[in-house]
Amino acid sequence: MRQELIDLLLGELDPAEAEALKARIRGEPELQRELFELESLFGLMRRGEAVEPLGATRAAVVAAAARVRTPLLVQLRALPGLVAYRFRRSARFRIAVISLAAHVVLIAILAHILLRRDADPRADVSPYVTFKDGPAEDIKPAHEFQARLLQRRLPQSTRLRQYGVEGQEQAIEKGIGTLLTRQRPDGSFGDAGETGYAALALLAQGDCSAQATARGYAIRIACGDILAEAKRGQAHGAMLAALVEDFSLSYAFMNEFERMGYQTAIRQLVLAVPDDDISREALLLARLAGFAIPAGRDLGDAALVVSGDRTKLLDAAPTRLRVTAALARGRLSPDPDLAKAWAAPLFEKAMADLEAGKASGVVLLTLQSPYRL
Amino acid sequence: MPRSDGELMVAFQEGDQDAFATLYDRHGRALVNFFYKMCYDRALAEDLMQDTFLKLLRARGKYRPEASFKTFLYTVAKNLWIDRHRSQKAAPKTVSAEVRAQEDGATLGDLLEANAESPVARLADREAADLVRTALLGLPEAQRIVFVMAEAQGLRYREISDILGIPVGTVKSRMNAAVTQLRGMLGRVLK
Repeated sequence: MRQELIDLLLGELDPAEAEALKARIRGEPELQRELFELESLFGLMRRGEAVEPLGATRAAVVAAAARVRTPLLVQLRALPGLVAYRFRRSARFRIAVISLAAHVVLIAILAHILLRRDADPRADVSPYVTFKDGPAEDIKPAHEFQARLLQRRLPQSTRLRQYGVEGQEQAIEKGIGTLLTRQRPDGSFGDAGETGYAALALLAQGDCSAQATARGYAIRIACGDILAEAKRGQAHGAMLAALVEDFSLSYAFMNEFERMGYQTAIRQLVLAVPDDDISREALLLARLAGFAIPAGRDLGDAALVVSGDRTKLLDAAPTRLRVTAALARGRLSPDPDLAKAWAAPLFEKAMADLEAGKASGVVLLTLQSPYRL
Repeated sequence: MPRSDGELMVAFQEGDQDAFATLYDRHGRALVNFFYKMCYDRALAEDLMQDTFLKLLRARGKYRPEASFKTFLYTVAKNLWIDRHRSQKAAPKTVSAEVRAQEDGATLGDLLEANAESPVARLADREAADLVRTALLGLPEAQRIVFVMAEAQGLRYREISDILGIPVGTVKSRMNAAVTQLRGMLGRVLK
């Protein structure tokens, strides 16, 4: 009987059933009590906290919608005269057939181009040979080859397909390791790391290989070496962001992060933020702030002040950002003086930038807690 | 006469960006509250709500006007919730209010409570909200998602069945089980 009462309260009964049940309830005090309790329960639920979405989230969603391009198919479908649903369906079918044919033609053209490229065996073999056998000090071709292979931009000749298969199976991990270790014989990354970082970014995003070992390798490299050395550069930023964006990677990332001592690492990352492009690092920091800290950790350690173009920041990581002065007030830190001392210079710089018109906003990234700030 | 959700979605497919903003305005709040009641994490709920709409943008081509928009929307939301929930199960992400927040031993919870505008006036609501939170979070997830969808979101059994991919009978039995458990947990307040 309780099920029927629940159905009644949720409006799941049809009118006749509902009337019959109400009539029965009127004659049975026990059912009345039961119904009253259920109503009270549902009423209590409605007293639970309701939350309002942030205005910034709406702005980000609407902005994202504005960037969406209307597909050609839909544009055609929306032409006057095709508005009626019946017409739209038939038009959709015709367009799908045309589209399919266009795809076939396109694939044929691409295959033709690739086959033509394949006709010259030196075009694909030489970088591989250079990579495999070349002198350690001349590694630029190897970088290019590796990057092109990882981006699947090489022609699919038999030899390269074989290499590609090996890459999927085993060689990418080794290849990237070689690439990186060869470019830092003295233990540093030197100046030629961009290609390697780009490759790592691709690998970390799973674009190159889904193998756990390869990913683990990328993470280890990324966290243990690059992060510790606080390397700069867009490829580095992209890789870190990719690592953190990928949830399945983020925990392994965090394990490494914790091993390093995240406070140190975060500080290094903050220091590595280029003044003119902070969106990627801000995304990383925002993700870290959201993910990183298990129960009982020092809250203030993850709170960071970043100045810059707030629009970019909100666009990059809208949901983990809170514009708040909580840290500056020492409210979130177990050691307010330390937090203030750490945050104050950054905060003051951000405010100075703001006043000087160099920044359009100040964003204070704070660790999210179940509490409203 | 306002356009239906389905009409708005089709209009958006055809390039009307205002239609998408209207859809957001209609469903954004309900969606963030759906996620909020699933996890009681304000930031995560906001995050998931936004991701749902962004996913909706990417999947706009899959929507067919003959389908219910609400079912479509909550199917995306449910999938997102499952993905996020599974990925985050491994590590705790909440912080403890018992963390020492000041040298005098005051906790974060104390500080936040002390900053409330009128704690006495809000005490009853706060207590009720806390009880509801504890009770909802105490439900098994399979029951909680059914309960929140039915009770708080006003989705019909049939819609929930479609969204979760389970029979209507299972929806009903989970709803019943959720109500039974909630009554047990909230009995003191209900009496």
